Amino acid sequence: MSTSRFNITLPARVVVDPNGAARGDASLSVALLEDADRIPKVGELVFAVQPEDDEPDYISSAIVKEIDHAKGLIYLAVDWAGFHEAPQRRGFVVRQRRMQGSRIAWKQSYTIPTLESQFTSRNGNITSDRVLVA
Amino acid sequence: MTMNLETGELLIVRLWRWAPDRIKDDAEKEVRASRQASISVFGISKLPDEDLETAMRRLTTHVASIRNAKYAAFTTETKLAEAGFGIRENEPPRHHFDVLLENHNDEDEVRKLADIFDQFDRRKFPSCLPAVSI
Repeated sequence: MSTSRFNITLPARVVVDPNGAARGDASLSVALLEDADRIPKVGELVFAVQPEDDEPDYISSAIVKEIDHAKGLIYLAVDWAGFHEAPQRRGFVVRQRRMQGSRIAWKQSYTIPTLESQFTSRNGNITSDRVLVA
Repeated sequence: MTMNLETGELLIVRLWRWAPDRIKDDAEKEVRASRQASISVFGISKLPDEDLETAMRRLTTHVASIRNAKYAAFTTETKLAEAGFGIRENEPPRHHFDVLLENHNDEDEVRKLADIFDQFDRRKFPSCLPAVSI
């Protein structure tokens, strides 16, 4: 069976506090650098996450406005109105059977339900513009 | 437990989450930003002839205009004061307060604060309808 290789960088996930606001600019929220699953870049679109233990996470998007590495803080513009329950992030392989003349051909695709939408790779080609390809 | 709220008394809401680990992390964020351990909440004073449920909905309606979460926990300034926690107004955003901690690395103090938000039923946000207990 042939395999397709592709690299995908999902947006960083940053845990946000819906109660807090940045001092000096209440339109921004502050998160600990440790609350991000990787260190994002300024200007990067990330997932703003309110994690749950027994339910789907509550998620939205945010833009990184500033990172204070000395203090270990991330300043974010969070889309508070955009929060919704996240689908699971587990990917799975989909195989579709097709007839090519008298032969059976398998078309294989890899699908990852993301936090906002779903994208699919067909033979290594990412088909959604929501995905950042490394 | 039934909540008593007198006219003029401050009704406090904290959006999910208020578990000790989250309180500690949110306080750590404030220590790094301002050197004062605190967590963020919102609050309004009960109006004359306003019942508790109406005051709750007035508060969550305001908070929902700027924030979003799945659940909310209510308490009062009196309950916080009885447990030894001071609060201070810290606007903007409007009706935003800080609950002050002496030492956010003190597990007993953090647990005591978390217990205050667990005293009353968890509510859905922003409807204030009772939510299933965790």
